[in-house]
Parts: sequence; C-alpha cells; structure tokens
Amino acid sequence: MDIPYTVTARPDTGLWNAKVGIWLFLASEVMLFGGLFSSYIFLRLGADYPWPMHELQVGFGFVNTLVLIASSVFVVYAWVALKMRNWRRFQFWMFLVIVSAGLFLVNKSFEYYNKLTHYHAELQDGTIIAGHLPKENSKEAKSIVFEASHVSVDSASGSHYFLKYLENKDDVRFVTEGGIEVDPSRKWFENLKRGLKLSAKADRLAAEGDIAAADRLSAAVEKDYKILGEVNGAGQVRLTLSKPGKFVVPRHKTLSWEETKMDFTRGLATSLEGMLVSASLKLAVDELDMREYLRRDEPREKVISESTLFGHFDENAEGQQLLKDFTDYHTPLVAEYEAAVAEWRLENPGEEFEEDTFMEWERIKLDKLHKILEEGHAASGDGYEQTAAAGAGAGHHGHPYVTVPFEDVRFFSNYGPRKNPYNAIYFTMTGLHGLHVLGGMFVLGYFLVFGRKLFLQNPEHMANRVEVGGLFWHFVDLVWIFLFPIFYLM
Amino acid sequence: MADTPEELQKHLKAYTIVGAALLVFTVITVAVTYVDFGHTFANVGIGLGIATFKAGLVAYIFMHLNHERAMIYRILVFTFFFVAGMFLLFMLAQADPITRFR
Amino acid sequence: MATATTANPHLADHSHDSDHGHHEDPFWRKYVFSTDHKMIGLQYGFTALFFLAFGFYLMLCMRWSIAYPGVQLPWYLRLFLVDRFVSDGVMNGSLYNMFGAMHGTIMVFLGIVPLGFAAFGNYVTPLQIGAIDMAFPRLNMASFWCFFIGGLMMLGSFFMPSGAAQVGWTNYSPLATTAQLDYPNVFWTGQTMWLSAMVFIITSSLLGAVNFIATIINLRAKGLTWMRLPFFVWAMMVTGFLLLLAFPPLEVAAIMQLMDRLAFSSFFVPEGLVVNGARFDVSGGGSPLLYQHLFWFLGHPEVYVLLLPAIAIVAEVIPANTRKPLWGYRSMVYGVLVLGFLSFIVGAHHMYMTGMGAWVSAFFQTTTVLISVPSVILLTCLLISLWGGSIRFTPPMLWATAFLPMFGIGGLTGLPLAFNLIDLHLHDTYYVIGHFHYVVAPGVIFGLFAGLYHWYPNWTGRMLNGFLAHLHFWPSLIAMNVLFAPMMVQGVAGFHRRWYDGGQSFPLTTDKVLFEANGFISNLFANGELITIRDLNILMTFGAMMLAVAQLPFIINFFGSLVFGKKITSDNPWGATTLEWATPTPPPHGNFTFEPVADKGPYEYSVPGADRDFTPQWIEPAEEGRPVEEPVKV
Repeated sequence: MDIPYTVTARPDTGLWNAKVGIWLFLASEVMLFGGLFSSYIFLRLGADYPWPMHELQVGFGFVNTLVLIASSVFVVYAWVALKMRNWRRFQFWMFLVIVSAGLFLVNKSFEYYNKLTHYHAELQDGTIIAGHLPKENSKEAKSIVFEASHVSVDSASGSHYFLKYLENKDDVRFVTEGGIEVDPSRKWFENLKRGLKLSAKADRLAAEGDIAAADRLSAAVEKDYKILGEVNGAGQVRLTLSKPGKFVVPRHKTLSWEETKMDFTRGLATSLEGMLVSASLKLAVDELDMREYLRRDEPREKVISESTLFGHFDENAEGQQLLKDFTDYHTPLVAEYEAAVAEWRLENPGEEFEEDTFMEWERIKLDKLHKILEEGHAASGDGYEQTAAAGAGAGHHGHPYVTVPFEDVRFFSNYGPRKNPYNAIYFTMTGLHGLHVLGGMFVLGYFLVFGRKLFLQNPEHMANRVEVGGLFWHFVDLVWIFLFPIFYLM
Repeated sequence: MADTPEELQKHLKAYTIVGAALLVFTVITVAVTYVDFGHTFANVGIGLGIATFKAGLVAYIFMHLNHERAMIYRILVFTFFFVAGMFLLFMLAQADPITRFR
Repeated sequence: MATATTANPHLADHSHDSDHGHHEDPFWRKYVFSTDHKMIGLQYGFTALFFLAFGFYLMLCMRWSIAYPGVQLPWYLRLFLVDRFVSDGVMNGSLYNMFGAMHGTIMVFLGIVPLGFAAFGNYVTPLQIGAIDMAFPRLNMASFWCFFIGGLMMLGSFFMPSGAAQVGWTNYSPLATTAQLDYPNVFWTGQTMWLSAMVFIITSSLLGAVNFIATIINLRAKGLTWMRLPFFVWAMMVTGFLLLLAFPPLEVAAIMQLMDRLAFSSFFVPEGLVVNGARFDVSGGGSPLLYQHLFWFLGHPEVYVLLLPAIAIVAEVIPANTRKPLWGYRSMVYGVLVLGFLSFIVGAHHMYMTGMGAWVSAFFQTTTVLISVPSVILLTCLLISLWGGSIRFTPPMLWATAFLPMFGIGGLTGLPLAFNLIDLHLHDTYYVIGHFHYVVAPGVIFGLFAGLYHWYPNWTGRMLNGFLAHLHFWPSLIAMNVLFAPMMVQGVAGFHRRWYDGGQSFPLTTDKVLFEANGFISNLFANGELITIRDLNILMTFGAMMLAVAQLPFIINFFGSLVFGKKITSDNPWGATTLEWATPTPPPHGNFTFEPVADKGPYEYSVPGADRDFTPQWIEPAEEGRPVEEPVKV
C-alpha cells in the first residue's frame, strides 16, 4: 500500500506531501520562535536594569553567523547536485554542511562554558562584582562549609537528601541516641519513614476501633522495622557523627546559618550542629559595576569607596592598589555626573528627574573603567602573577580576590539563565536553536550516510527529501540571522 | 520548478551570489551597531531592518519562495499575521498597563 | 439499502493495493505500533475514554468535598485512593487543589482533544476524503506515542513525593514557579512533571496537526473539490490549524516555566517576591503577565479545538437523520474559517483582571463579541437544518439534538463574561465554571457521544443497543443540568471557584438564603428550612453522582455490543452520503475496495427525482449485472 504523491506532485495543488508537511511544520516553528521573540520584546521593554548590549562576545556570534550562512549555501548546492543526479558532489557538499553544523555547536559550547563559569554577585548596597571562582576548591568558594557534629532529621519526612552534601561520607558513621551505630545511607532513612508511617496507621486503626488489624500491623512493624526502636518515635531524630562531617551546601539550599547551627531548606527538614567553617563568596574580580549603587544613593553624598565591597578587598597590596585605582578614577566621574544632572535640572525645570536618562552615560563611563582595570592588571601583571605563584591572594588571570560574606550578598549567580531575564532568554532561545541545529545535523547526516540506496532506486525521491531537510536547515539559519543582532549587537 | 541542467546551473549562480551578499550584510550588521543613530529605536530599527532583509533573501531564494504554490503562501500569510499580532499584543501589554508592575 | 461497496474483484487489484491482503501483520504491528489511521484513531479513542473516566472520578471526589467538607469520602470513591493521598479518607485542601488542577488538565488535554480531534479525526477524516491512509502514517504513530508518554507522565506525577501539580490547569506563574520547590529534587515534582508532560502532549498535537492538514490538502479523492468536502473535514482542517499555530506559544511558556523552575531564571517572576515569608532568591525582572499572554494565546484557540470536532460531528449526524441537506453549508464553512481566525485574537479576555490597560481590554472586548457571530452562524445553521426534515430519533440524533440547546446555553452565558465590567464581578466565580462546563460537558461531550453512536457500526459492524442508549441519554441530560445550572446561581452570588470546603469558611457569601422550604425538601439539607446557596452544592453533587450512574448503561452497551450487538445488514446503515460509508465494514487497511471518485456535494439527501432519499457522494463502481449509477443533476 503506497501513499500517493510522496514523490510526484498532486496535479491540482502542485505539491507533494512532504512539501506541504514541512511548510506546515515550519509555520508552527515560526509560531514557536515568534512566541520566544515576543517574550524577548516584552522582557526588553519591561527591563528595569540596563539592557546588556555587547555583553556577549561579538566574535563568537559573528563567526557562527558566517558558518551558518555558508552551510545554507552548501545545502542548496547539495540539493542541486542531487537534482543533476551527481551523488559524489552531493556527498561533498552535504559533508561540508555537517562540518559547519558541528563547528557551530562547538563554538556555541565554548561560549556557554565561558558564561557558566563566570560569576556575578550583587551586594546589599547595589554594588555588582563579577569574576571567576578560584580554580582549586571552587565548590567551597561559592558554598557554605559547615563541620557538623550532630544532625537532626525530621523522621516523618525521612529526608535523606542532606547526605548529598556530606563530603566525607565514607569516613563518618552516625550514632543514634540509643548508642547504635547506623550506616549513613539512603535506605536507613527510608525504612525509618516507612516504619513510622505504618505505626501511625496502626494507631489510627486502633483509634477507629479495629483493634485486631491494629495489633496485626503493630506486630509486623515491630518485626520488620527494628529501626523504630533505635529512635525516639516521630519528630526530630538526633544523630551524632562519629567524627566531624564536612558539609558543603549551596546557599539556596540553606534556610539560615549561625556559628554553631545550620538549617537546610524546609523541604530537606534537616539541621546541623557543629562549627561554621566559612559562609562567604570568594571571587577573582574582573569587573565592577556601580550603576545600581549610584541609583540607590540618591543624595550622592557618599563616595563610591564607601561601598561595602571595599571593606572586603584582600588586605594585600594588590587589593589596596585596586581600591586606589578605582577611587582615583571614579571621584572625578561622580563629580561629572553630578554636574550633568544639575545641568539637566536647569534645562528642564519642574520635571521629574528619571535615572534612566543617564543610564547610558554611566554605562559608557564604567565600561571605560573596566578597561582601565584590565590595563592596570596588565601593567602590574608581574606583581599579580607573583602573588599567584606565592599562593597568597591573586587568582584568575591575575585579578585580585575579594571575599564577601554571604550576608552582604543580595544575589549571586553565574552568567547563566539565573542572572537576569536577558541571560535567561538568551540561553532559552539559543539553546532551542542549538537543539534545532543538532536535529538538522542528524537528519541531514542520515541522508548523507544512508541515502545512497534510495538515490539509486528513486533519485527524485531522494532529492525531495534533501529539499525538505534543506528547507528546515534554511529556517534554522533564518532564525539565527535574527538571534545574532538581538542578543549580540543591540 | 524547472529542472533542466541549464536552469539548475543558473540557480547555482544565484545561490552563490546570495550567499556572498548575506556574508557582506552580516559584516554591515556588525558595523552599524557601533554607530549611534541618536536613539535606541533608530539603532534597533536599522539593525532589525538589515536582519529582515537577510532573512528575506534566505526565504525568497534559498527556500524557493520566489516560485512556490498558492497553498504554501496561504499557510504562511496566516502564520505571519498571527506572529505579527503576537508581537503587537506583547508590545501593547508593556505599553499600556493600568499599573506599572516594576 | 444500497450495497455500495460489496467487494469487486475487478477493482480490488488496483495498483496501490498490490501487496496487501495477502499477509496478516503481526499483533504488535497491527494493534500496538500500527500505522493504520483507523487503529491509531481507536488507540487515541480508548486512551482518551480512559482519561475522561479518570478525570470524571477526580471531579466526583472534589464535588464530595464541596458538598460535605470534612466528611470521609464514601467507600466507592475511597476505593481508588491509596493511603498516601488521604490517610483518614477526608479530602484536604492540597489534595483538592491537586485533583482540581489535574481534572482540568486531563479533561482538556488528555480527554476531549484526543477524543474529538485525534480519535474521530484520525478515524473519519481519511475515510471521508477517500484516502487510503494519512499522508504520513509513521508520523501519525509517533504522534500517538508522544501523547501516550505525556499521558503516562501526567498519571505518574500523582505518585511523586510531592503529588501532582496543584495550581490549576492554567498553571499560572509565579504560583506555579514557586510551588513544590521545597522538594530536594525539583525535577521529580508533580509541578515540573506537568510541564514536561505538556511538552510531549504539545509535540504530539503538532505532529497530528501537520498530518491532518497535509492529508486534507493532498490526499482528497478524485473529484472531491474544496466545496464538496463534508463539513467534518473542514472543521478538522481548521482545528488542525488552530493546534498548529496556537500550541507553540504554550510550548514556549512551558519551556520558560521549566527554565524558571529548574535553572532558576525569572521569566515570570517579578523582583521582590516573598515566598513562605522569605525573599525568593532569584534575580527578578520578569512578569506573570508574560505567562498569561503566552498561555491564553493558546488558551482560546484551544477552546475551539475542543468545540469544533463536536460541532462537526453534529453537522454530520443531523443531515443523516433529518434526511435533508445541511442548511447553509457554505456559510458554515466560511463561518468556521472566520471562527478559527478570530479565535487567535480573543485570548486576553481571560485576563481582564490582570491590570492590562484600557486599550488592550477594549480591543479584546470587541473581538470577543465579534467571535460570537460565526459561532451563532454555525449553531443557527444546525438548528435550521432540523426544520422541515423527517427526523429519525436514532441514538446519535438524540445526542445531536440535545447538543444544540446545551451548547446554546453555554455560548450565551459566555456573552456577559466578554464584557470587561461584568467580568470584574464574575471573574473566578462558579459562573465561569458553569459557563465553560455547559460548553464542554453537555455541549462537546454530547457531540462526541453522537459521534460514538454514529460511527460505532462502521468500526464494529454492529449497532449499539437502542434501549440502553436511551437509558444513557435521558439521565445524562437531566444530570448534566442538575449539575451545572446551579453553578450560574452560585456564581452570580459571588461563590469563588477554588473553595475546597464548599464555601463553609465564607458564610457571608454562601449563607444567602435562596428560599424557604418545608417537609420533604428541608429534610434533604443540613440547614433545615432555610435553603442557602451553599445547599445547592448538595444538589450539584447529587447531579454528579447521577451522571456517573448514567454512564453505566453506556459502558455496558459499548462493550456488550461488540459481541451481542445487532449485526448491520449494509455497509451504510444510516443511509448516509459521505465517503466513509463506501468502505467495507470494518474498513480494511487501505480502506477502499475501489478508487473512490466524488461527483457531488456531501449532503445530497432527498434529491427530487432520485430513487432513494439519499444520493451518495461517490460514483458507484461498475458491477456485473448492474449499470454504473448516473450522477444526479440538481
């Protein structure tokens, strides 16, 4: 049974099935990306933060644009080759398409990696710092480290997930209040939960009057869940650790921390007793952004160097030098800014001053600052490198370290989707686009590798397939043509 | 679609030219974003204008929309109408709120 | 009765059929991973019927909780509830929320759309256009399995540590973004699973829609021009376009909400959100309005995705049972096209309360009122089609005629909601619930039942029992109205839709006295002689139980008739004119024993001068001893 019009066109519509199919599919893809583009518009128009123009590295996007455009040309070449029944030439061009697609994805993954390993922290007073985690102990540099002697678990929820954050799991044993040593394993906690649940059910049955069933259940529980005897019934079960357990916990998994106590989030329902080792963020700073700080500091009497950030620069010479560089550079800038505002007020008497008017101005100035910082590092590069070698304080590319307690950090994230809606929509759109590239690569690759048989049987059918695959590929290219300017350029 | 070898050769030439044009316009897109046209809308508008022109080239030549069947156009017209409607709606949603939510 | 399609050896060996009929496909190929559109339609149908029953069960539990808050569920409802949900047999608030969210999701996305569009569409469309199968059979199969996986994920989400999604079928952010985030692994929470499942279901719909439209465009039989297509096919085409173009924005919303939940982005989260007393630790800068715009860009076309298949089925059943052509076929076709078009630009009328500006509200108010025009055209045409016909009240016709007033009530109660000002009062009350349930439950589901009774003989070769059909229909009709009509009364009084205790904790609203009763009636209600609007809950729950009981005859009939049903004597038992009755019963893989050629419109009933009261669309194949039937000139 053959479906008609798979190869030849239906006379009255002039189309073969797959052609209709792919255009319908593309129509739905247009709506998919249309939805994303309109979300982009919505988020951009509503952004209450300066839109990060030129934040991405244009070079990456530019190269990728060229690669995709070239691959689009290769696809039509490949299709023409098939139309002229030349299999070898088809192979040649299609191979280039696959290579281009691969190049695109490799390029993209470098870009992603750079973003995801670059961190950003906004302090309580609005100062924003960006930088990299130290290479060694990078996990501890962004987490709360706690050495626990006791663990209290909510037995009813049987939560064992805190074990995930216990670093020295293999060395540590847990001891119950009854003095029995237990394995810090998932199974133990789950048994505990199940046993408690069953005994609660037995109690309920007894209360309802079904004594026989309740007794039967209690007996079964006593037999199968000996664990219950080791803990003190429902509620918090307190376990002692045979030696200090080192917990490295991401900040968002904690509810609160003190010198001797730390609580996990509600869902984990676990708390630790012991000693807080560190609860601060350590970054090798390569960028400072004082825009938000300036915005909040309405009277503009405080100077930039009073930002909490500068309390946290390392006490070594490099840290102090950076502080001095920054203040020296910024003091005249602030004065200039103040003068500009005053002038604006004179020109527009009675109108309400909007910070946004000067947003662009500040951004440009601070970009210059960023460059100066970089140059400063380059100039005094030797010094930084030396300290790095000495292991005293300088880190990534010779940028100075800053250590900020988590209390002072309002928001902390890498340059991933979490950072702000711009990054979020960037990752979502380019991620989906990347999946389309990957999908197209598989389909076209399939034609390249397994298409020979169909080509020999029915070359026109094969050409149709490549045309359909090509249409998809051009669409992917077309989407990128829009993605490139809206994310990289403007 | 004409499938004679001569026709296809002519197509090939067109594809090469269009491909080159796309590359050139990519360079132009990057270049113009470093020029300030005075207003954000102007900057964005010019950038998007070039991108739309490039996308049009791809759709018109590479995707053969210069000689396609009526049915395909009918499908696409509706699609583009709805996409444009969606853009407009989302812009309006930001431009005309009862209360600003930020 | 015409023996239109008895096997004809001369035409059976049509070139396309050369390799079939000789070997039987293995079981898994024929029933499980089938590429035959009829089998896929049946798979969709059975899955959807299961989900409908499941969603119905969730509703019963909820209605019990509303009528008797704090009272243990009766044994027949507790039967399916394991301890993990209710240890003491009483519905609590979060379980009610879970059931509410899943009732909506399952009914809309896993029950009615698959039954109306995917099941009937798959089974009937290729038959009606005289195609041997869908344009892309394997894509069709992929579509079903995507749907099936999505359905399993939805079901599975009940058994996750967190339980299923709890924030309503619309899944509004930021509630949906922040719900169940306390669980250690956010991916394995019902809320996240809802989104992942939706991505599968949407993908399935997209594949299905591409397939339907391509099939209708390219595989129509010879002579079947656009204006000769049965209305059902037109409706399927429009529905396909609605799915194709409206679902992607929902997919976008689902993906973005997934990002919000898993990558902690803040697409839909404004800055400074406080959750459980603590600052929600994300960057902020997004807006819940964005989610709602994306959702309702789908949401309103989705309503017509539910509705159009039902209208289309009714449009097939009515001419076949009135023995006269569909009145205003052309205006119906244009009406359905306009309806589809307008449905894309009315979505934001669900959002009057969000703080959209006056201009946007005014625009959507206008379009919403406009869309009632094509809807009324469709309904009026169907109504006038009854006029002057010699109506046979066969089982499908019972449902089809009941559809008209029920859908009419549903549509007309929607009009007040279209207006900004009235909506401020009625938003999120039981009035809204009553309105859309009138459209979807007695409206759409009645239409779908009409379809089930209408095409059952084509699938099985047997008729459904008429007595049981009546026993199914009349109690259902009454129960539906007992269940939904009081909602309007409650809603106007300000009864909120999400009170799991039936409004007990809001006595100022819900203790309004409706009337004074004595004797028998007062014994039924808790408050005795003063019947309040809250007491209507008990009446409605009674209606729901009655509706459940009323489905028993159908279930017995549906499965019993597979074996005991009266065998049909002709392939065209209703004496219908469209091409699906030109096939043998049941249609084999490949459908037709001859190449169907159409030479007239779809509804040529009671043509003057014809020898029968129906003139099929197709040209009867030549048969030995019988001349080719002359096409009828009208």
